Amino acid sequence: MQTEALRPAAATNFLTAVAAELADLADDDRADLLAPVHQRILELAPAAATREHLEELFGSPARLAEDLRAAAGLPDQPVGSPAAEGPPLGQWLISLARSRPVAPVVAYVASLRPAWWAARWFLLFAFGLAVLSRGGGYRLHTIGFYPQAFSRTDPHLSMLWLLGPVVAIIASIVLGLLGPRLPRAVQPGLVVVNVIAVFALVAWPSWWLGPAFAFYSGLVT
Amino acid sequence: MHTAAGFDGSQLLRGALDLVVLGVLERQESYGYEVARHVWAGGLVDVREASVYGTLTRLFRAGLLTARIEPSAGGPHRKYYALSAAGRVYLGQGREQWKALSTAVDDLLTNS
Repeated sequence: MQTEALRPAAATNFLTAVAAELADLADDDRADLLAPVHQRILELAPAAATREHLEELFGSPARLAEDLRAAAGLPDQPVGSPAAEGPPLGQWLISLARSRPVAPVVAYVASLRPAWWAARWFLLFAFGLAVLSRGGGYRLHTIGFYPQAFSRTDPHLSMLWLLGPVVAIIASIVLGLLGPRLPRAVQPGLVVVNVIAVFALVAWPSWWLGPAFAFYSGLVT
Repeated sequence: MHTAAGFDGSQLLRGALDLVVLGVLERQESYGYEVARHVWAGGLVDVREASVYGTLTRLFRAGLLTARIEPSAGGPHRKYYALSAAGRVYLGQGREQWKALSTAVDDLLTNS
């Protein structure tokens, strides 16, 4: 492998790459983490400050950034966040999420992730079945459904209605745990799943309760 | 901590690095790379430089260290760290707990 001759560009490029990996952090956090690295590089003998040597000292820029974050107690780089600057709207949203009034809310919502992982696939599974049956037989939200299901003559079919939601929940939790390690191509699909699950969470009770309320309240006959 | 290749002690070190860094700074004020050199000279050769830098940043923000900036002719100024009063108390408590923990672990490992 050809060694890059040292120029300021080699060190600058390396530092720029590390800074890009830390782009999601606040400016002062990033500056505090980069300053000692920058100083260290400047103290290297010129012949030693090649890209190869820097990576030998610190690891790749991504590895160095990860080590700095972990030791400083800062959050991991968000999944899917580009190392380079993102679109202005994305940057604004990130800044908003980190702002003092909003950050505690974001932290609370983030703490609900494990519960959401358990809930979302059940929501999708049950909501999907309810839609397919047009609110008819596949009503997993009703406790009475299970005695009905297990009274069917085919015991294997009965077990489907118990195992189906259980498998869906387990799969959702596994996906949630794997989240950061999933291939990037899968990430958009996961976003779509979450959006539909949120819709189901909001719309499904209304869709089921609404007609019942209208009927029993006398609004419709 | 358990790998097919054998025992992985990195988790042990992760918990102790705060105390190690504070211990180095108890002796004298130092900047990032100098702290790292002291850590390596003490035998902890597997500690990554970035881990020391990140730890210094975190401890400083927690109020356990003070810092002063020394201007540098080129590039960023060098930041020298020293223990704050809170850092001394924290180190003292950590030292006691480390002593108790290491004694207990030694006893258990010896008698097992």
